[in-house]
Amino acid sequence: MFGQPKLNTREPRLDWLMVAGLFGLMVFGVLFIYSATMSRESAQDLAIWNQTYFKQIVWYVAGIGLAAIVCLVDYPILTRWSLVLYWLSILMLCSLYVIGSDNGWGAKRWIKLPFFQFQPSEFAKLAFILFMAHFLSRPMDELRSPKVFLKGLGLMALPFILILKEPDLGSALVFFPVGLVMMFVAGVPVQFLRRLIAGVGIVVALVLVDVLFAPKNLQFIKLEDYQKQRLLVYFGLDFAPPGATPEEKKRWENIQRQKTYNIDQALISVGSGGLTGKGWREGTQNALGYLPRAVAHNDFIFSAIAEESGFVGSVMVLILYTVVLFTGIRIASQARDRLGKIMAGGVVALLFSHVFINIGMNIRIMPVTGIPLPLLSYGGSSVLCSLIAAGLLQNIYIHRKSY
Amino acid sequence: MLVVDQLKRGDPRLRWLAIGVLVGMFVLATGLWFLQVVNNKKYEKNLIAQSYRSVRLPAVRGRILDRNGVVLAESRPSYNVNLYLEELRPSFQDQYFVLKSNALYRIALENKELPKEQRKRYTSSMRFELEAKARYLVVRSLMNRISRILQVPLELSEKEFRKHYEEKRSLPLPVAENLSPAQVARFTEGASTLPGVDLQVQSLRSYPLGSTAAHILGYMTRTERAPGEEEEIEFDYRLPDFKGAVGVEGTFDEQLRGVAGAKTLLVNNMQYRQMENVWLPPKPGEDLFLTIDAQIQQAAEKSLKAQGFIRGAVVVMDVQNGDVLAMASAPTFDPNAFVPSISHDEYARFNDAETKPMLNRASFGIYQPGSSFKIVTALAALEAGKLKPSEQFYSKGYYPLGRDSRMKCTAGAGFFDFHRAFIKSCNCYFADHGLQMGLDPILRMGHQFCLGEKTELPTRQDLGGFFPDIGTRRRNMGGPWTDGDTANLSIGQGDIAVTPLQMTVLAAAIANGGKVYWPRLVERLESEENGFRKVTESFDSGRLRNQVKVNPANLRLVQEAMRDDVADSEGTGKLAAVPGWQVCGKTGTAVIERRGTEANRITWFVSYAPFDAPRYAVVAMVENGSSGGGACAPIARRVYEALQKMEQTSSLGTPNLAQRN
Repeated sequence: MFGQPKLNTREPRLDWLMVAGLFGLMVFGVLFIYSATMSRESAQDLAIWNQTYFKQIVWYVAGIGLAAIVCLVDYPILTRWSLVLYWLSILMLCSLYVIGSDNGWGAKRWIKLPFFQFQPSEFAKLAFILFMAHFLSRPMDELRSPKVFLKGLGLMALPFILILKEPDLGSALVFFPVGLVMMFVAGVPVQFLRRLIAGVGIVVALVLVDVLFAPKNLQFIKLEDYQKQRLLVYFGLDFAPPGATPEEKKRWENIQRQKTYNIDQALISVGSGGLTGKGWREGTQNALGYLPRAVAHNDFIFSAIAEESGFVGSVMVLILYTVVLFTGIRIASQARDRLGKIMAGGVVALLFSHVFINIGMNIRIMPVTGIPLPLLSYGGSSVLCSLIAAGLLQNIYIHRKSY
Repeated sequence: MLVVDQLKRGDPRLRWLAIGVLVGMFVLATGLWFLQVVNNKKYEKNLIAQSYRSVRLPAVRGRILDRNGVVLAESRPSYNVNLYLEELRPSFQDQYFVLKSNALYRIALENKELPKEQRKRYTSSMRFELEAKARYLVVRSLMNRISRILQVPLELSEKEFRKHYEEKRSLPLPVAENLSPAQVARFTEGASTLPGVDLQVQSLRSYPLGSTAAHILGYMTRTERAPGEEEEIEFDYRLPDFKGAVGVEGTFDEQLRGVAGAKTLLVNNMQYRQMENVWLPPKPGEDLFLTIDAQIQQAAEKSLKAQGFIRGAVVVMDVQNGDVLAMASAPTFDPNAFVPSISHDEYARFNDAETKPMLNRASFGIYQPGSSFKIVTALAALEAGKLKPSEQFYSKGYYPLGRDSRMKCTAGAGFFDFHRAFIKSCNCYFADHGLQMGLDPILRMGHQFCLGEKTELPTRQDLGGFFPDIGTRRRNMGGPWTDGDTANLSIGQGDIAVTPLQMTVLAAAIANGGKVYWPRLVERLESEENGFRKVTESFDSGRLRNQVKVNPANLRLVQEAMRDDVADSEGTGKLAAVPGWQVCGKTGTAVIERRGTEANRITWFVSYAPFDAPRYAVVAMVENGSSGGGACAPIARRVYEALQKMEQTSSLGTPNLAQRN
């Protein structure tokens, strides 16, 4: 069926601009994970292979290896397995209820493996992109049928609901923009998407009103306490229910202070960075422990970067992401078929959602969710997922000419 | 270009995707711009508020020295033992784990017997409680070890410790203060390896001559905020400091105190100290030079004590310029007792209502001058022409005042001319002449000596006393002014109250030809910067307050009479005589009656010496003395002897002190 790709030696084999962007991000990642973790005295005594920054390098190397493997196989062949991968990821998400390990707050998000903890939701994102691309690459006529559209929505909803139940609202929500963008790029009629967005908007608004403002007996949607509190923090609302006694109010205020602590400290970190920052390893927020050490090197790594490298450094990070995302869009436009275009669009949407939600959370334009910053946040699953996604883009690029 | 290319690209849907990504990135960049550039100051302020603490550092207080540079007050290093809590954190942890495992074990034991729903859990409030307990246990056991090394009992209640921990966690916890040299040695030998324990040097006020000049110097009280100190910095913490309460310590507190410095502590999210930085070093206080001569001061105090009297005062002044050379008041106190803090017993003793040791009787005690006032009466009568020195006056031994009241006279009955009346202090003679000339000449003469007015002594213990205004027709105590009152005033009793310092100014004015000086107590203030001494403020010597308008011949008559009061065998002040100098003086004994019985007897000796070249005025006052001649003249004699000795031994022993300034 598909022959060996005929590589034109005059055309570049890899999109080197994207590689450069990714490499820049990885350098930032190592530097600031080092800065964020080495201020701890306990960390300084660890052997190098136990250092967080070193482990991150190991993940980078492993991720680059996996990305290279992904590049070796032409993407249409990969998509043939996408059905299997998709259902495998659904199976893994289901298995979390049985063998998932607790993160300490009652959420089961990880599967413990001998060497590391594996986060199936990250894997599910990739599997979803592959399978969705496969699903949407059918003839354009079929995409106009509402039946196909609804089927697509179903594919999106299944992992969404399973991840939402872990619970991990942030990761679950990522499926929505990714799916939407893929449908848009595939050519699903705009009025379908418009209706979908309007519908979701109404539902979200109703849910918010119900969760935030409805009296207790009228709350139909049961969010976890912490989720509700995060939303309250985001909308700047008081925790205390109306009509609380002064004593209760005080207790709620206390809880609120604890809950807003992370985001307040992140804002102080970012804001005090100024134009040029305090210098590498000179940030006090992290060194003095105000920016909680449990999150300073993963979810809030951007605060550490912004504090120490200032507006200049933050914008540099944004530019590096922009380079990666736009080379991704370029790859989409150069793809040899609709499958490649849709898949590339999906990967771009996935990376962009992560970047926007995470940085947005650090500067308080997004609610706090446990969404990692691709390549910069410490964490094996996230790094591997990001690099495999980049590998997929390169794959599409490499095989763009083999008609 | 990469971005522009994508926006122009043919596929419209991909173009929309590119626009979406670009808008998203732009939103993030704008948000960052607002946070990091526009609102940067606000977040920096928050950062400083949460992680920096400013501490006020008291400056080393300036010294107080006498006119020859003898140190009367200085700052000595005092050694304290401090606990640095941030270094104890590992110990706190270890202790907490021990307590926690015990608690868990206990809970498990109890739970065994309880049904499932009543079982206890290890709650976060239990954790906080155990953590606090662990900290206290660690600190207490350290304190016990330090206590054994220093061989003093050390106490710290859990409540005190918690208060320090909650409010001042980033500051060291003071454990033992003011170590003796032996304790310092034992500490450095035995405790220097203990974790989080260190010696700290604090500057403390010390008065090397003890109670010498205590009333002039004043004393210190503990404070954290200097009064009236303009604070540009809102400090989070202040280290213990002292402020001068009275005396020159009080009046010149600002100059002596110097300027407090500031340091900044960097604290972590647990409020423990992480780093510190002294960004404003304290500026040491200025040195203050008194006009006092420590030697004479000690002689004055000793002579007062030698007489065995409980309450009294001595003032020594340079008659040529008003410099106060000594000012003693008894009983006295040791200002060292206030540093670092005074005990309750001692404080009660210092504030005894009967003896009032803190009261500077020389400038803050007001008394009737008694016969010593006859100097003024005599001058007034001579000036008014109502007194002919050679005219004989017959005294019956008492002086009738109205129908059934008479003035007592210790001089006895007989004939008196001015000279004999003065040296035997005949009340009848002076009362009679007072009545002859009337009230106003006496008041005019008294006012020329500035009686009833404050001397502006910078010790915060300065009273003007009382002297009636010219033209007064009513008594201060009430009722119309009568001739009896005029007669009483002529002999220094009734409506008059003076301080020993005022009488010293008066004696000096008699000696120097009528120049009434402002008394000077503080000579100058000096500061030292980079090893260079600089006079920052100096106070003029010989500031003339008033020139008494009096005929020199009349003044000479009084001076001679004062000389003979000491020199003549009949004179009341003969016990003040010293070989080598002709001392001029006038005794006084004011009997204070309350409900017809004698309540108090204020005795005086107002004098100067030598007669031919006056240099020193010496006034002694004793409460409840026998008589001016018996109680006060010997005090003055001892002071003169000390002055003579000083002139002989001192290399600077110039005949006239005034030339030195």
